[in-house]
Amino acid sequence: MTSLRTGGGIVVPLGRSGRHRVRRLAGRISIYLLLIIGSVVTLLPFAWLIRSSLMGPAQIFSFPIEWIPDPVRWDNYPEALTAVPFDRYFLNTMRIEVLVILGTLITSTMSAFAFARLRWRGRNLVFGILLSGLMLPYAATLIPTFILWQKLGGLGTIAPLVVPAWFGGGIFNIFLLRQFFMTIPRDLDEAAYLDGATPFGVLVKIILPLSKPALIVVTIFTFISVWNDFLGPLIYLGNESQYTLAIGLRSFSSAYTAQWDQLMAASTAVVLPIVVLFFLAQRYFVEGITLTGIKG
Amino acid sequence: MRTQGITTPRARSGMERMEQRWGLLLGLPAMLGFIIFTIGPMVASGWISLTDWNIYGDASFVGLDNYREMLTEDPLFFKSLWVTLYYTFASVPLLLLVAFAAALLLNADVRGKAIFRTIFYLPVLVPLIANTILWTWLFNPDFGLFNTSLEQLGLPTSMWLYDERTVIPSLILMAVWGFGNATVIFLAGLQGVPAHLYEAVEVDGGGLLDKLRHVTIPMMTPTIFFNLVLGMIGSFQAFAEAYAMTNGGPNNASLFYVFYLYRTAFTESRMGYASALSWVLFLVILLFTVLIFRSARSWVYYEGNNAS
Amino acid sequence: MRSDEPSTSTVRFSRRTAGMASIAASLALAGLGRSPRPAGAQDVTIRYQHWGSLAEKDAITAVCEAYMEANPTIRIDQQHIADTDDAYNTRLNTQVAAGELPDVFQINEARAMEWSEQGIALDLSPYADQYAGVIPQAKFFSAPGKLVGPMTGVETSLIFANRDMFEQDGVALPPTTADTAWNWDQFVETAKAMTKDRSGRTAADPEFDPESIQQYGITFPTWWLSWYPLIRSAGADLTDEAGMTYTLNSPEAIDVFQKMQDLVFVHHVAPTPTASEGLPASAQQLLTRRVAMTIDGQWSLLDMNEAEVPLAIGVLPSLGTPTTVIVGATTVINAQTQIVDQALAFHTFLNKTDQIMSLMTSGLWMPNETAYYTDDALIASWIDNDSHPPEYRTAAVDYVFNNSVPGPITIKGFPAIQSRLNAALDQVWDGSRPAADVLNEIAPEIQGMLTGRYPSE
Repeated sequence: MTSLRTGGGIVVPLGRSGRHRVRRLAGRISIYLLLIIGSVVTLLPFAWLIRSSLMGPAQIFSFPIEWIPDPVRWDNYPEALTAVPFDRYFLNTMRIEVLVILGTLITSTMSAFAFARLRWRGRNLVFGILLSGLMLPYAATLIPTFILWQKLGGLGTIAPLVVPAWFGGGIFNIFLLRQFFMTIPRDLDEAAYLDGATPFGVLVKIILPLSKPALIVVTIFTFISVWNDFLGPLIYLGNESQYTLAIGLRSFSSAYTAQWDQLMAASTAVVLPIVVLFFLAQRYFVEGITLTGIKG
Repeated sequence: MRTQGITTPRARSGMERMEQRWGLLLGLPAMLGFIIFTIGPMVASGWISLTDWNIYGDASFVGLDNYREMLTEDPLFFKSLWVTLYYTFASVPLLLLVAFAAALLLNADVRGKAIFRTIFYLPVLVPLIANTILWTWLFNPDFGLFNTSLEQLGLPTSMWLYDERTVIPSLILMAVWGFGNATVIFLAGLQGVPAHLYEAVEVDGGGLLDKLRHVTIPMMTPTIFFNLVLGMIGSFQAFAEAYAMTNGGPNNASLFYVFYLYRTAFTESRMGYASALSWVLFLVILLFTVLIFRSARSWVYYEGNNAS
Repeated sequence: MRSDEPSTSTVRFSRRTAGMASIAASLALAGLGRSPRPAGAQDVTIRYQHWGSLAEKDAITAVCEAYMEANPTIRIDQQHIADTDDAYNTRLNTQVAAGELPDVFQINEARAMEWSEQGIALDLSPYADQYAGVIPQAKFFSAPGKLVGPMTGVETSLIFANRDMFEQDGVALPPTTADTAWNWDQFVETAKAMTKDRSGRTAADPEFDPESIQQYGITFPTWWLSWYPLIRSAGADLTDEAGMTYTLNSPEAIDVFQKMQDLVFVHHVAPTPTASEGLPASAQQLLTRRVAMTIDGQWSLLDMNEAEVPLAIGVLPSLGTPTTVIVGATTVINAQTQIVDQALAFHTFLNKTDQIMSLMTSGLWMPNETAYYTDDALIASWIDNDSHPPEYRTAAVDYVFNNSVPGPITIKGFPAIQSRLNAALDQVWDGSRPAADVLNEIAPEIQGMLTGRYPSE
């Protein structure tokens, strides 16, 4: 139904050589210029965060604005990070991360495969219904879900934060993986089926090896959302010894309304692990979101 | 351009049975999870929406009273719906445009691509709490970075979050700052556009714009679709901005629907009414999603797609 | 009442804990345990939930530990939520819905009265004598005689000033006794003298440039902490005594809101108040000399001290009768608790000022017991320290005790009323409409929400 439209029939006369090269050069310069402007604009609030994390309380609010900390107060970091047990919050967060990511990877690939590559009655209907769940505001089901966990005895444990990940791993991830799987040519599957493979075998032997980048994307998205989740841990976790970093940061921000330097230091420290993770994985990350997949 | 397979009818029917079985089996965790963690609570909240439950004590059945009140007596319902639609339809296209432009720039053969990509992605990584604190401060009319800088440059300043007319545009600005996610997704899509298609345009003598119009954009439609759906859902559920920055003000000008819902449920303890609000929101989002998916059939192009 | 007596209705008791207890007891007998424990004693766990800053948490943890030390069979399961009112309320609401409320918990005062009315919070009137020492304005009642609880930490509305800025300019500091409170004109005059543009001209100077203000004379929050004492001082109120008629559009009340709006848009001595709410603590504004005076809660004293602001405090301006408000959340007992006696014993302990003295001496809270406002030695026990400036005795202690009224929180359904009212008042604070228009326009809506007022005793 949709066919690829190429630029057939359009003939634009082009001056060759010299003029062409000048235009190319101008193009490249303007690309760099735009990229640099974009980066500066993007980094500005971020620079503001870091600059503030290294200043004394008085300098933060100086007018006219000062950008260079003087003196540089590295002490803000140890002071902020020892004021509340951030190390424990970190371990708590990582425990949830590992369990959630594992559950998500296993169950979301299964489901996405079923929706992307197997034909079964009711598939589109079921997928449509699942997608509608994505539109559901979190607040709408908060109370009934909480009551459910109370009946199951899960309050005060990490179960409410972890278990749902083992049931499909989130509709968003299924959607993402499905989009990815759909772009892998079906010939590969069909050839495997002719050789007697089961769908599970196809998933494990053909689809998954081709999907490493997509799995990395799911991992990173899941990691970030767990890292930033606030309302869930607040409601379900019983006491401070179970707190995650997001709540820890929030505690810190309500407790230290006057110490903006330290609040900024703590915030920076909470961002940092994610930035590092992203930096390490970013090549796969972009590759992974490549929705159009492998090409023939 | 579909690959329909090369199997005989008999083998096909065997395969159909197998796919049916395995499809259900592999889809089972997601379906179970959906029933337990979404449909169950949804049905419960649907029932609650027909009562006057206020969290304490017993609820009595009031029929459709909550819905009637919403449509006939509650100006805040319409206000919050309008605020949310305004925010969604202004911020999502703007964000996609910026993100697409950034992706095109990054897709050009430039050095330091990884660095730029990381820079553009950084805002996405800032924790929500830190983000709202940071931007509240940037926007502060008296002490914030924006006004102080504008003042130093001799430019007119703004009240940003503290004026009914500028609060949503300010929040849109903040939302657009987080364009990195969409950019990375676009960028990935761009890398998947086969080079030979561009070559074809070149052979036909087409320039940059022709490539964009005839190759890039058509090939990118699944990605655009994906980002559009994602962005819409996200901004329909905008909450933290109102919760942590504006408290819905000034004069309810940033009363996002979900924030209003949250406030009704948790400040005023009106669970029945809040449940009705959440059902209406669900229907509104559903409506827009169905519209987008419907329209997708006419403009989204999947290479490996075999569903019809 | 002794809390370590075995209760007849003890819960959370299992054979395992009993077994552990007897092991502990034999260890204790063998000289290995920490504290002696009667064999077979039944351990009771009290779930206690509260919010607050880390300073509050640390002080309260110490109180809990002291309590457990004194009562070896009691275990306090302390749950501290450091967050906004909203987040804490969310948690309480989910807990109620699930039947998971703690035994003893802190709660916002307006909600506490609702919950007492609904039977969720235990009626403390049978134990009223336990709370006889609490100052009358600091007790909440949901029906005549039905005691909800005492205010957990008492707070009030004050003026905080940067002393150095006043002394440098030779401007008189805010008055420190209720009798000498500024009238509105004196207040505006001082605020003008302390407001400066970039060229150093004050707001009193005809050449003053309101477009480039370097230093503001005053800031104030937009919630009722700032405006409610002022309208009460002018003889106005949000509703009539019965809480049935909206009166915020009375000429006196309109006049107060108009005066406050004029501070920003006519006199140019205050930044837009909604905007200054986005700022960090007022301590920073004073410290960095962007602001000379701020109206804020007493609790800011802790921040001011930590930021080392050269601090002076004073009483609010008076528009008739010198008036401030008494503010504070409460702590209640879950009506469903299985361990009423133990919870009650712990609750009364928490309300003894001498047990939580560090919260007072740090400047965070004020005591809720009358004796700490009337007895010189007891007053000295909490204000004679570096956290409290010398004028604190008259400007805060006497001021609260003699000149405070409870906040508008006794109006039934106040949380909902407040959110509507605040939205409308935004138009006063951003200068878009005159106070009279706003307060008249919102009248029918608020009037429709009024259902009465909770009693004060």
